[in-house]
Amino acid sequence: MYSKGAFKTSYIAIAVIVIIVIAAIAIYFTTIPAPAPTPTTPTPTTPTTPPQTSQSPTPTIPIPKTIKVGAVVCLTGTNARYGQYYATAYKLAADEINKDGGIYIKEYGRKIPIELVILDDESDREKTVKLVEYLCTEVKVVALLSGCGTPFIYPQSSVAIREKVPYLTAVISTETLLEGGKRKSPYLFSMLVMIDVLARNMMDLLKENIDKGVLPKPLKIANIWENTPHGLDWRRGIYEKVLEYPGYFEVVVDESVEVGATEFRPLLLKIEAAGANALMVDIRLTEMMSMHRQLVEMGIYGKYPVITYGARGGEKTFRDEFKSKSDYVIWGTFFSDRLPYPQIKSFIERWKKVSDLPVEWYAAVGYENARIMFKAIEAAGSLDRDKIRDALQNIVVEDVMFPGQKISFDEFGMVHYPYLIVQNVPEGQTRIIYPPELSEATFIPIGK
Amino acid sequence: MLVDGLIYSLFLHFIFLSSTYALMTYGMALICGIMRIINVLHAGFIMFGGYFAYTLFIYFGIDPLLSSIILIPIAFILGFSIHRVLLARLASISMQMTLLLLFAIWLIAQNLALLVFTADPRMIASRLPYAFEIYLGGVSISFQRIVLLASFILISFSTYILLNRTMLGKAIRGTSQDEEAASYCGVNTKLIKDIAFGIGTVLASMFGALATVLYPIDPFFGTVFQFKAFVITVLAGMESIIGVIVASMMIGAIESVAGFYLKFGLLDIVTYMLLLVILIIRPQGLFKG
Amino acid sequence: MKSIYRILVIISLVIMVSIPKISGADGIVRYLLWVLLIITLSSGWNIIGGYAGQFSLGHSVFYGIGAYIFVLFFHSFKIHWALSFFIAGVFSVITSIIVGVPTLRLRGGYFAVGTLTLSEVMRVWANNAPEVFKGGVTGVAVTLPEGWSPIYSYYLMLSLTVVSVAISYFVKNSTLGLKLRAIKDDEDAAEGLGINVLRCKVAALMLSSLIVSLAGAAQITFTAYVSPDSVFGVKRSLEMVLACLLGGLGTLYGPIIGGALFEILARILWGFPHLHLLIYGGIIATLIVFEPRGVIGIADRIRHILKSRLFLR
Repeated sequence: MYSKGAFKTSYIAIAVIVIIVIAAIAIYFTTIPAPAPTPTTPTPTTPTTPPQTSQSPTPTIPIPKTIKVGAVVCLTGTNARYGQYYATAYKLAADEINKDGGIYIKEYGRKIPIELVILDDESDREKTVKLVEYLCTEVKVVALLSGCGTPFIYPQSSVAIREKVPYLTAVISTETLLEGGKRKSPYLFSMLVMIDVLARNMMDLLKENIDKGVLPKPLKIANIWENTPHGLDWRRGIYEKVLEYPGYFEVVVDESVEVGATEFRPLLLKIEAAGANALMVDIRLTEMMSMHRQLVEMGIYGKYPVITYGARGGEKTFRDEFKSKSDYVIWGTFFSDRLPYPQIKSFIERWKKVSDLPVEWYAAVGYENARIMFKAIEAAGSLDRDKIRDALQNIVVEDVMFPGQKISFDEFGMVHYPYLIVQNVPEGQTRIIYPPELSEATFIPIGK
Repeated sequence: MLVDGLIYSLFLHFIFLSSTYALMTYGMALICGIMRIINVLHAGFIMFGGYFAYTLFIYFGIDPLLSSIILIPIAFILGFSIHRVLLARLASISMQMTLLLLFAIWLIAQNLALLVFTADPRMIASRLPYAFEIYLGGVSISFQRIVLLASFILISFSTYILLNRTMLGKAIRGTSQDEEAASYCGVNTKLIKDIAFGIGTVLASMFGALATVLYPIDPFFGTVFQFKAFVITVLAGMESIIGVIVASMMIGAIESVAGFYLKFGLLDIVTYMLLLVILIIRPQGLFKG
Repeated sequence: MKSIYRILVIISLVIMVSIPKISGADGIVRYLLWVLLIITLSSGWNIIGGYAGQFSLGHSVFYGIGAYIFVLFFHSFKIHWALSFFIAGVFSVITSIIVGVPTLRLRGGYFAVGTLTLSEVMRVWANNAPEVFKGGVTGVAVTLPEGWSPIYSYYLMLSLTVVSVAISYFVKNSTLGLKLRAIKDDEDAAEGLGINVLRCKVAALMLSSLIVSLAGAAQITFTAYVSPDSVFGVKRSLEMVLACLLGGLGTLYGPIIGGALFEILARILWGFPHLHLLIYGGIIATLIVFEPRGVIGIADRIRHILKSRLFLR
């Protein structure tokens, strides 16, 4: 390449650069969807749409062909498990509405179908920023559906704030919505209750049982958490209650776990040595399964009256594997097929038709996330992002699948409904044990 | 818990951990010795073995131990072909390129697994016939660990014999020490390299199958193990079975102790720093040949 | 430089500078930001990986350090962005010396593994040390000053890219470049010729890390987010390497072509959310097996074919 021939090669290299630039521009213009609204005159509407009122716009205002709603989820990479659920759930919700023609938008006096644009961020936090920005600025989505989990929602939310796009997240850590105790942006919402509430609810439940004499006082807690904002919030919730109920709880071990850990024996030995009798853990599914296997191996299962993996414990893969050794583990959730709500049964049936994945709460969360957003768009009567934001702030959605069946957002963009605490019982079943108004059984300590 | 029991428990953990780590490193050490590069496809083979054993267990009820035996010819053919078709030409030109090619293949393997098995972790450990606990001197361990330890001893022994007491092993060792000299001695180095890669693949896949006895499998399964295998391979100085065992024991000792006395979350850094230090001070490893 | 080169370079620069002036080009500007970023990164990596032949698989260390230092000074200490930029550069050069001197003694595969380990160590450390790396595992969402538009980032990135390519050009045609080539071909022979191998490698690393960390600092201006998982770690390192490889290792235009192709490829793959990594891996594997010299290598082959078939000069 350093002979005179190199010169010629560089010619070709330059030619290649030019071709690439042209190709890039060409591809670029073919990958972005047609910008909305399209400047065409409206075609006659189908007979099912209501007649135009006198307030409706004159026929020269362009009507968008679709309502673009975007989401960036982790379809591949380490977080792929959740992305698959969310994507399927979003599609399910959108397809159900599009079957009837779409969402009725008052401003245009007709139903417009939803166009879901779902992109894969490969579980990469830099890509997630890039893709959300693309959705907001080039695809020009009118709203964003949630990403998968706090590590991705947090960076996405800063883009949503900047671009002023209403973003309904399914985030359970407060850092995303609040800064210094104040709401970061009127465009951010979360439809899930924060995880520190779960930690607190669990501690309340435990305190009740300590009072009843079912659990020893003080309850010695081993608090294990994953090193993510999720884990940190969980930890905070626990500590708050430890301080609130002096004498009831004692945190004897407080350690973090990195993603990918496989051997937990030294940690478990540490926990044993500290004399713990309650294991409160917040880690990912794979690590949780390794850890549980090892604590069964060490004979810890059955010894401690309380074992919880935070919001996990009911997964089919966990239950199938451990069978009776996963019984009596308690966990928190918003979604349980034990709640006597008809919308849950109906959802499970519809889900089974479109996916082989077992119905876990991510499915319900994804579905409701989309449904609430679509309802807000309808309530806004317009595709204007600010109007949708306002509609979302004021909306009240009934017959959601979560406890209380109602969702509305407070001044921080957060929601309030109780976390359910569920306990695994034999034969792969579960029982709701908290809150009292929805519970069907009482807490049973492990080993009884 | 008594302090005695604690130390004994940690000691048992150390034994099991070291044997697991050594087993996972054999494949990489062998390939490293032959190809002089780190085989990033190692994780892919482990994952392959893992899913293979899982599928056989779920659909046919075949025990992972048996699956690992079944794997031997399958993995060998797989590794042999990959090397012959894709790697052989490249390895002589540039080892960095080979590294990247292996990485690309791993990417493909991972995503195929993702498509077929989804990202859900798959576990069969607790459903195996030997998933019961026994008490060994006052400490509860599961019988699976003993099974794994026995497999480790068996495999180590066989590999040692293969490498040190057969003509094939001699040829492999000769090729990895000095390829030119080996070819002068009449060794078909091309074929030997293909074979060695095949054997390395077998070892990695067998580890994967055996790992299902204890751990859940997901598409990223091998990644964590692979990094530790790097460390141990470098420490051991390649192609020495004894070296690998001793190096694994070192890492095992550090992890058992550090995991208990230090912050559990920082374990990985300890291992990595060790690698860096070794690389800087004595890159040939602690054991030569 | 031959005059036709000069003209072409000037024309392309003029085009690049005037793109933001076209109305409605907002999307193209944003797209080009990423293209320029990867071009800069791979040009920077090329200096140590392509010219010197030292495959650093941990270059994300410098990328991340640039990003974090910039965030520290710009976001936390509220220092003017240009100064923060400068400090990020200085910091990375110092780091490269600290990192380089011990690790560059290692040969080939060991150096790759060593740098890989280093980048993972940085990632785990940053995740666990929020006192040192602001934001810890969550990361920091940087607030950009009022009125900042991506066009400013564009000009920043464009200048950085031009500078990087210029540095790459000057290194290639300088004595250092010659020495690096010698080292790449045969390190022992180079030593025998009297070249101070370590010093040359470290010099290359210094330049390389400077470019990469300035790029890391610059990207903060348009992503406005930093976290250990998004700047450190294997994935970022590999992207630089692959983009360079795609275009042509060790050449001047390789990283540019490779970077542009890389981004186009990424864009196209967005359309295949489930299969994209499969396709990506397939493309890399095919490229390495059939033409490890990248696009430049393909161009070279075409030239040979033309020459032999059509009897051109």
